[in-house]
Amino acid sequence: MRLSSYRPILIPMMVIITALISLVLILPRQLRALTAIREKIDQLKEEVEELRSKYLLLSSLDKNKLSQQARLAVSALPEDKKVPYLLQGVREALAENKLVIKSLKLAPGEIAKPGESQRTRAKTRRARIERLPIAIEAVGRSEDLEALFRSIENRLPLFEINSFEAMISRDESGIKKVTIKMKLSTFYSPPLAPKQISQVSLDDLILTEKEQSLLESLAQFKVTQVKASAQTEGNSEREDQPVSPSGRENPFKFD
Amino acid sequence: MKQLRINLLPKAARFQLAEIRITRRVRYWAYWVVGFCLLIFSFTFSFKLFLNYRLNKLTKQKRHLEISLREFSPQIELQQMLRYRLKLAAETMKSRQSLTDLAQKINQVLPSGTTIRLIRVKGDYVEISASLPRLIELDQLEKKILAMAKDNFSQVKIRSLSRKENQWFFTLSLRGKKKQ
Repeated sequence: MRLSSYRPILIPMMVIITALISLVLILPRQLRALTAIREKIDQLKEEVEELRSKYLLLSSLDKNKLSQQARLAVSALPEDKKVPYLLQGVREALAENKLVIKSLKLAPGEIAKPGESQRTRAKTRRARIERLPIAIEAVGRSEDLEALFRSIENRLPLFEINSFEAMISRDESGIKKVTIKMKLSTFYSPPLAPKQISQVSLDDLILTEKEQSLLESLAQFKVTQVKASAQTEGNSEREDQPVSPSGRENPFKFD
Repeated sequence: MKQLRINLLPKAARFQLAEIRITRRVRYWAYWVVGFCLLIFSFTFSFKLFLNYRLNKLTKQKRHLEISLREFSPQIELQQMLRYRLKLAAETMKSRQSLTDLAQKINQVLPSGTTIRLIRVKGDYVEISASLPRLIELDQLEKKILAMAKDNFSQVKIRSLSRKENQWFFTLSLRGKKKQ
């Protein structure tokens, strides 16, 4: 066999082989890269779409209304044991029903330090909802227990009546006297460390119908108000943040 | 009819001609393959360039939106906090027992002349000590409570009944149905 006789077809053959080999070697890699880029683009598209929806939703939110709603939610379930706040609530509920507190017992336990950050506290907490029991003995003349229960149960912060005893008697002059002994529980929940903006999904930002209706029903409740003077100094700096009515007033003062 | 092709060229000339034909055909194929490969590569690279351009554009858009969203971080935190508190408040309200409803029910069944002396509520257990001027009213009360008990109470008992100071004294105990 003479190689020189194949010379004219050798070069084109080599060109064909080289082209085919490079096609086989390069093309799949390129196609894979293209698919990866397309997937990335699709993912980015979704992300951009979600971010845009988030942006539109957030720009449509009324900051003042949101702040008000958050304040209401914090009033319902404070972030910590706000002893003066809940004592004020109990006192108001009883006063509305012409009852006077004869004795009161509660064990606030650990009280958060003023400078303690929310995140540190959140880490140390175990239960999501914690209870603070209060035992009350009150006297008065009103025997409308339904109104009393309504005053306690339709009030913020939320209370639960665990046990109740009412003794209705008459004193020497024949006037009715109602002695009430009850054990209440109030609830509080440590703050949750907020998610990072990138981790917040669109669903996290939309209130469900149930939540809307709960907000509406909470708005019907009576909110316990603590005098402005009793509020801590630091709260005035955060005007747009929800301020849980708390302070450093004497929790045992009943004037 | 089968056509007969007669090649009258000498054998060497025939071989040379075949060689030329093959060379021409191979060259022709080489052009085609190279052309096809170039076409494919150019298409792939241009498509890749286009996709990269889109990717960059979307990345920029995403970054821009993320920066814009940072302005709303107080609202996002508020909204998260609000939803978390509402979730817990809903759990609390669902789990707590309502004595207002219970008092309403009891008020509905107690006859107007009833004098309540003691009410004791502990969990789902209610005890009422009261007095009535006539025994017939107690009978009515019993009927009303039994009618109501079906849906609201698992146990209804009149624990004591006595006659004192021209009144019928009774102690009624009710045990509510457990929440499902």
